[in-house]
Amino acid sequence: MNPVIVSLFVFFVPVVVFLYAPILYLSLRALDSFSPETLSLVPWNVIAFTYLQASVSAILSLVLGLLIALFVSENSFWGKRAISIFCEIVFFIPSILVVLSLLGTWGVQGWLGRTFGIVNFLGWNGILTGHVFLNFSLVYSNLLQALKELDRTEEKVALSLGASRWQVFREITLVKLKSAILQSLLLCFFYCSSSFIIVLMLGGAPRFSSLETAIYQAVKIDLDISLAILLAAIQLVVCLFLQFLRKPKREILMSSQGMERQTLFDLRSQRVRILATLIVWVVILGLVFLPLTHLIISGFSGVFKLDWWEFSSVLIRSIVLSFVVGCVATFLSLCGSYCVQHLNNSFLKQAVYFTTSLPIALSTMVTGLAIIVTFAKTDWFRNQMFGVVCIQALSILPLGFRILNEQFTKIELEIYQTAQSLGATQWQQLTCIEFPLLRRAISLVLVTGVGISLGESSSLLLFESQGRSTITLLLFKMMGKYRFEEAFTVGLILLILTASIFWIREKWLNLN
Amino acid sequence: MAELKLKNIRVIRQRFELNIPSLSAHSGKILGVMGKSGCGKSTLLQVIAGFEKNMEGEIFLDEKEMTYIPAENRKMALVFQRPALFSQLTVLENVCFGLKIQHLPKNEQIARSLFWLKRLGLEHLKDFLPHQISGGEAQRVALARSVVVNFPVLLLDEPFSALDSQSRGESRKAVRDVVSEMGLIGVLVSHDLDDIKSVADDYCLMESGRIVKFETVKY
Amino acid sequence: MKFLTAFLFCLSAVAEPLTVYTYDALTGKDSLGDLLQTEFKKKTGTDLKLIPFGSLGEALNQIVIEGESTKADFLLGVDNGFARRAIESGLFSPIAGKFFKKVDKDINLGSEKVFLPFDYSYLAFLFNNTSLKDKSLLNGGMTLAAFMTSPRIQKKIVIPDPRTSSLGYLFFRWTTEIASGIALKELWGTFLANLFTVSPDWSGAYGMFMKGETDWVLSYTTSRAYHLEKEKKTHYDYILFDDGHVIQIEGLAQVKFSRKTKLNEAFIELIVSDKIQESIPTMQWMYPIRKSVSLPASFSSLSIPKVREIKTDLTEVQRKKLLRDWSGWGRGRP
Repeated sequence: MNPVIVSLFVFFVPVVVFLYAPILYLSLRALDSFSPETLSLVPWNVIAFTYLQASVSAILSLVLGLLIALFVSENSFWGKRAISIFCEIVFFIPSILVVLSLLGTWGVQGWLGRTFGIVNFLGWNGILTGHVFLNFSLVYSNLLQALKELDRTEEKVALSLGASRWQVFREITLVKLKSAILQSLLLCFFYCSSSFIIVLMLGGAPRFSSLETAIYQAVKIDLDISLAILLAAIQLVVCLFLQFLRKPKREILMSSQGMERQTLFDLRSQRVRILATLIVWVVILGLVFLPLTHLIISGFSGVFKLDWWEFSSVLIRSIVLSFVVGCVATFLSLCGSYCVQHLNNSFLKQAVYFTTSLPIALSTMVTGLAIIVTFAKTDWFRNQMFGVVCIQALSILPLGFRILNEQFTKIELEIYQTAQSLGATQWQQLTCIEFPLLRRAISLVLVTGVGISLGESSSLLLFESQGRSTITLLLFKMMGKYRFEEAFTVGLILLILTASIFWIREKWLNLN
Repeated sequence: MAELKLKNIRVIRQRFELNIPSLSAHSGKILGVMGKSGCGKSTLLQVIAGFEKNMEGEIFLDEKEMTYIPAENRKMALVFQRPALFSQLTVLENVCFGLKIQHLPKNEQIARSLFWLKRLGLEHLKDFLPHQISGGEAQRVALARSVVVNFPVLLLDEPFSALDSQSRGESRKAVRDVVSEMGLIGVLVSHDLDDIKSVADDYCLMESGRIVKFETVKY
Repeated sequence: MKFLTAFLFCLSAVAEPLTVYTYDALTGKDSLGDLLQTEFKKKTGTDLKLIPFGSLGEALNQIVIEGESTKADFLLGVDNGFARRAIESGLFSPIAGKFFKKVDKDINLGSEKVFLPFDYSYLAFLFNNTSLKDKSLLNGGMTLAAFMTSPRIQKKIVIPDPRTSSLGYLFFRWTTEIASGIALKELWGTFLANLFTVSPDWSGAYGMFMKGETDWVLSYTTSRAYHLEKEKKTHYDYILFDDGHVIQIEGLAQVKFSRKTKLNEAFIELIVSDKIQESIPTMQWMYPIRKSVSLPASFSSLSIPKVREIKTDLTEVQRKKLLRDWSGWGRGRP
């Protein structure tokens, strides 16, 4: 049997069954739920707050990320490499660890909370800080890359014509970066509007609840599935719309002439440069460095309080689950990218592309609820991990597909033609040529999947029952019960695990 | 007669070290700088324009030291290989750009810009956007934008490389005429000897960051 | 053949453990759940399996989702706030009247006698006398409404979330007894603006209080007894309201799908037995439902508040609507 047909089948069957069908079913149920009675129960104030806090968080993240990216790209200063590293490591920190670190530092009893006399960190302060922590580094990385790729010819011409640097920045640089800035803003807005753990734990409910927490509440606490479906439908429509707006349209030009990149907006005054360096350091220290340091140091304080026997079974369960998720995600990504490489039918190719980008537009609660309403009565569903594996594997699919697809496109046509001329079948080409060439990329996707799954908590909270715990769930429960000393120890172990995984990933990426 | 003078210019790069003990260019004339790719000629232009920060040496324009003056205050207009027109502005707005920076009245901006567009045979394109005109036309618009501001120095970095032979011929003529009519100090960087010989009055040959030959062009 | 099948069926039923869904504070080492498991095994030779959930609501939802194929035989920890919801679910069958004879007449979880009480306590706001700076609220003559609207609380108070915690919900129902309509909304509006936060459950709220993040916490009068008995600390106390305090009564609910008749009866008997009831004060830190059980000295020193009954009954639909309204009452306030 043709491996392309097999891959197509293996890719589409699970995706149709566990993604398209549930989402479609959810949408149909949502149409049914549209009754005056259910509509009267919709918390419109929660919906308004969801998008208000997302807007403010996204704007703050954008401003911070843009300013730091500009400063880092245009200036040399003491600790530049360290600042870059801090801005990048935030990427792999799980949301629940962000909450733990921030509470430990900025909470009422935290280091800095006590120093600055903070009365209450929860609410707007907590939500904005948590969101900015997670998202400013996304903006920073995107815009730094865009700035590095920017062709500076127009800017140089404008400067040579006497325009001031502020005029050039405003009228030329920002215009060129407009697309990258808009993409970053929309992505931040999407992440902040579909954020769950940050709002749940730093919101200080009920004053500050979001759509995601309202869906969770409706499913887990009230078992009001009709309301949950309606809320999920609203979230789905908004997320799909954001995804549509976010279609990549970057027009960044490659830097010209192979020359070393020149800085045009560096701070000329040494005093101003020192002051700016200090400000950047203070922001990074307060937002990233000190909370993480506190987590690491406090992690040692709970070592003797933690029930290591219970914890080791939780750890093993987490690692096994993450490995399963990683394997499923890798396998799906491989099938999808193989299809794209070898299919001649452009409609099917587009279908694969669309499918691999769809999960980006879906929040955890929406996908989770869709799976719950579709499979609640089946035997599969009694195994709580079934839903978790579905959601997590689907969320990793877009990234996994992108990595493998990129590697597939690097295999030259001549290689396939040579193999064919030597009599190799498609299966033989797959096993003898493609697999060896893709081995590192496959491992990279697996490692990334494991890392993301280890730190994920939203789907686990949605599907968790009957006391079977994983490391993030255990952390959540400990924090909920204010057992912070043990929580810091568990948090430190999770941080070491995810950091190690992403360190391995970075090494492999650099080798590539 | 105005003079642009370079003294003891030194820039250290990975592939070469730019080392120019002395070089000068005069008003109404074009100095050509020729050499293979990677010999440092574009770096030299960057140094003169004020974009190269890690340099040693001195630059004088009419006996006034320019070394530490920022690029936007040096009054040295740049034309690159790529026209680098501002994509959101029309041809007329592109040419007016430098005059707008100088806060000239709007009607004067338009009048001066239209003069140069007409001079270079581009008046009919004034309302077009950059992507709507050809490469040769765009390069001449870039030239118009650089001369309309009346700066004493015009720096050209491989301005004809991307043009076809007809456009090239037109652009070379335009550059030569503009420099001599306006009494500008022109510095032209190119790897093409034909470009140098048809436009420059004098030229120097660079190799590995150094000037190895200096000649006057014989027409 | 039929007899053999029936025998094997009975055998398999006896060998299978008795499964109880409950909230997680009732499980774990040295908890009441631990004692129940030991005593049940001694009594019947069968294992008692306790499945912990984050809240009673989650445990009930799990039974709803599982339906007839649920493994649960009992739901342990149903309280007077939760009882209506449990009854409306239609998942529980009444417990035999004979077991109620051991329970004091004043303690009941509804006239339907579906749920069997096993402990109770009075809701109260605890404070730390050492760290509380403004003691003017303790001068007497205080009512719940006056306390909730007092600016002297200064955002140093935490309560469990009424949507997720049965204690929090009971407190909410307490407030519906002292105010209704606009007055209730105003009362909560002021109180929510003055709250440090709401915690998902009692243990989170109490943990915050013990860490010194707040001066006040919603808990029980018997929490003072814990600190007196275990820590020999006298500075944890509670404020008494002139208009009375609501009682929380916890009970046992039998799932109607359970067929393990003998084991079920054994478990119910165990819950109201001397052994378990005598352990309630020092394991649950609540009052036992049998007045004949002697209490530790720390309990004897507790002031017994006036009882405020929850007279009005709320259906499930009314409960959901009221809680949904509640979550919007604090919005817009600084």
